[in-house]
Amino acid sequence: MNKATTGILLLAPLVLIVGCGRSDPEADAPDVVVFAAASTTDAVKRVACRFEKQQGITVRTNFAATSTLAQQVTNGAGADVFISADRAWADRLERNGLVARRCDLLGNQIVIIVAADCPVEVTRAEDLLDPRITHVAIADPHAVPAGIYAREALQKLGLWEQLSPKAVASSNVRQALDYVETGAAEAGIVYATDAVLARSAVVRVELDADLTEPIRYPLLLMKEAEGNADAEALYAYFQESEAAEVFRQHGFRVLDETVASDASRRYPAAKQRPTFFLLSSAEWVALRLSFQVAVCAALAGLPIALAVAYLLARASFPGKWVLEAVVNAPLVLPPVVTGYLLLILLAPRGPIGSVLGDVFGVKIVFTWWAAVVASAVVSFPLMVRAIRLAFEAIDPRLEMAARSLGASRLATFFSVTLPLARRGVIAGWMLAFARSLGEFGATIMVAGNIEGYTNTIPLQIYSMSSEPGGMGQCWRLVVLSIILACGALAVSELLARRQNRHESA
Amino acid sequence: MSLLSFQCRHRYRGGFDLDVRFELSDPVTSLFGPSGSGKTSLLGIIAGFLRPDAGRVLLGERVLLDTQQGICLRPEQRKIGVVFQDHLLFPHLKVEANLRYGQRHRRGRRSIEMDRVVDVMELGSLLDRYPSNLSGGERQRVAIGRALLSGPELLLMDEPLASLDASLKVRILAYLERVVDEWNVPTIFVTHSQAEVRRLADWVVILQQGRSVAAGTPDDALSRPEPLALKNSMGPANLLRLDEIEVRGGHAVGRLGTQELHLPASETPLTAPSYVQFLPSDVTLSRHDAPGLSTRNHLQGRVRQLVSVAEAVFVAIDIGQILWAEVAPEAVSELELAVDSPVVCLLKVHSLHVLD
Repeated sequence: MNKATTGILLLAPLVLIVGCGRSDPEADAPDVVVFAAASTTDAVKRVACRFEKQQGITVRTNFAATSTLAQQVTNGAGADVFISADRAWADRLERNGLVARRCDLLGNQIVIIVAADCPVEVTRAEDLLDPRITHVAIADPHAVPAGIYAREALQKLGLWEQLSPKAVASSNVRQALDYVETGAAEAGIVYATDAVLARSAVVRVELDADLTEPIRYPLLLMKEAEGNADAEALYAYFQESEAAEVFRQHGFRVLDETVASDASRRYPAAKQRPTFFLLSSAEWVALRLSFQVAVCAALAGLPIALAVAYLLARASFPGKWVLEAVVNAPLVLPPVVTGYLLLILLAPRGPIGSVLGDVFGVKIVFTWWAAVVASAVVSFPLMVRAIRLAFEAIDPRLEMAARSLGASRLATFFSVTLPLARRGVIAGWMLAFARSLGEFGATIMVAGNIEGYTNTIPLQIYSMSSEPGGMGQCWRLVVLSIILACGALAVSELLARRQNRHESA
Repeated sequence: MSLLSFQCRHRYRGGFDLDVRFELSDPVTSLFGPSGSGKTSLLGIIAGFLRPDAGRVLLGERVLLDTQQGICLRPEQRKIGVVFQDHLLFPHLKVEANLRYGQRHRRGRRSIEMDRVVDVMELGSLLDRYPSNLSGGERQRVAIGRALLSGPELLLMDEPLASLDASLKVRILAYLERVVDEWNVPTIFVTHSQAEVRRLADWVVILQQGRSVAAGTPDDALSRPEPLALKNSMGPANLLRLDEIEVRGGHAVGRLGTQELHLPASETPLTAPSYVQFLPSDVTLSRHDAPGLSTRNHLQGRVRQLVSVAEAVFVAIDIGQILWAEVAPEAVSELELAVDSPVVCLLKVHSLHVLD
């Protein structure tokens, strides 16, 4: 291929992207942007749709956990109207001077949901203590309102201490619902409005409304939208009876009185963490857990990586490219996709998970073993690549010489091939180890984010950063991650380069 | 019963065809042929590295390969030692561990004493070194020792001398002879040097383009037109054995039966038996022993055989041993050379290479 062709091929996607950007007539039209709590997704979509039809104004929506949305807004994401799932986040935004007007729009309550095939009959919250329920899905209890409400209710019932090890923290409340629906967790605590949406059969157990602060959804008109007629119109439309009708259909309570803002609330002041050697105890736990997971993942992957690398380096067989593609897939797939596939396979009702459960009585998802599996799969291609290169660098006739001297294929592998490739093997192992230390996307899918059980350093950083004021606290873990990753990479590079003098000839 | 019975057909994807059969019963056999004649493939088939399309290989009564019966022993089951052209010592092991590698995996093979091999191959001072710190000749000795210590029933050597320079070749040749004398391991070696064939082999199979064109004792087989027509390093070479050497007036003189051969000056004192190597084109023939020539060596003999090859005629002369002279076809008619005619072979001293 000549240079001109290469150039055209490289430029083509760029031209396409630029071209598409230009040809989009909507790009410059000022839309109204609504950020809304994940629990309001369906209702807000319908309301927005009606509003668009009536007013001819395009509404763009962004649904996520309120904590995530609030962080995005604080960091400059341009929202016009904001529906928060709790008042505390609205208060924070207000204190930061980002809010023009607000009112409490909706009310909600939390309920326990239980997978229909759960062996435990759950009629009240105490039933969740049953050992047959291994995981309870809730939204992040430190940051996401649904999780905070759930924690609050359980604390009031005196169950939180015992239940927190089982609590799988999802990044938003809809994910908690998914966990229960897929059987990844036997039970969960979600909003009543979410329980209405469950596709598969779930049992719903009401919790007393007075266990939590009244659950309120403030509607905010953001400062930067003040004076924007379209945004003001939408802010008003959300409070009209037409919108109220839709919200009611989705199980919300519609509030008409404006409740005064109540700024003194549930967020514990930034926790006082005892520190040892610069790190808090939670950070030490995350560090130990990360090491434990990374070492196990790299060790578990090693024998398979050796076999696959040897096969790819030495054998030729039909369908070799398929094996190559499968092995390398995690390298190019988004880790979240890998995690999603693993969750489907390993979930108690998945093809592998059901076998593990029925035959061995083991449940892997949301345990630290799931983190090991996720890390092992994601780091596998890196290990195979390094080891394969090392194998390919060995003259295959050295193996023939060993065979002619009477060594079997296996003995040859262990006495000649492996020792000669050892540097590549160690380098590959270190690389996989380093990758496992940093694994996030696949891990959070299959292992959740359970404090002290599956929150490795990256997960800990993620949950800290979504807590109010957490950004300032996670820098130690960020520095630690950088040091660990660079250290492992340096060792891996050093080993790959340094050839013993007597072997270089 | 033959020691090795070999018949194989193999077609390479590149279009090269191999179709060879031969029987061996002598202790030392040479596979001789130009590069691309299929020598190394044959070794690969015998050692078990290459499975041919069709064939049958027997070592003694043991079937190593029989494609019809679906038998193909793995290399480690064949009890065949292989010495590779580039030695292939294990770079991560010291010499001693390299030598013991074969011993370690011997299982059911004959036992050869380590100390004796170290003695004969003079490896004592090398044991603690890594292969990368050895010279070419030392590596070759270790490779031969390692193959021997695996207790083989047959030793295969792929151009054992090809990568060595002339003086080293001579030394390794001497080691090879010692191996053959000491352990009686039947040996097949691949070479493209006729002098090596004459020096070491009892039997030679000559290969050309994937076929065996001749087989026999070196004197017989190498007197066929095919090997005589080869050029350069693969071309015909004379190798005479000197039973005695004496030094007279500062010059070495070798004894060939009743005749004498004046030898070039040598740095090291020569010991018998030695070999002297020279090209057939360096031999001048004369019908009568003419005095007054500067040429020092005049050897009397009788014509045994005349072989026409391309634009030359090779004349085999019996001087007690066989010596080849390459002459122009016109010279044959002018000198009236025929089988049994008496001739004198004139040899300049400096065209001789003595191999101690």
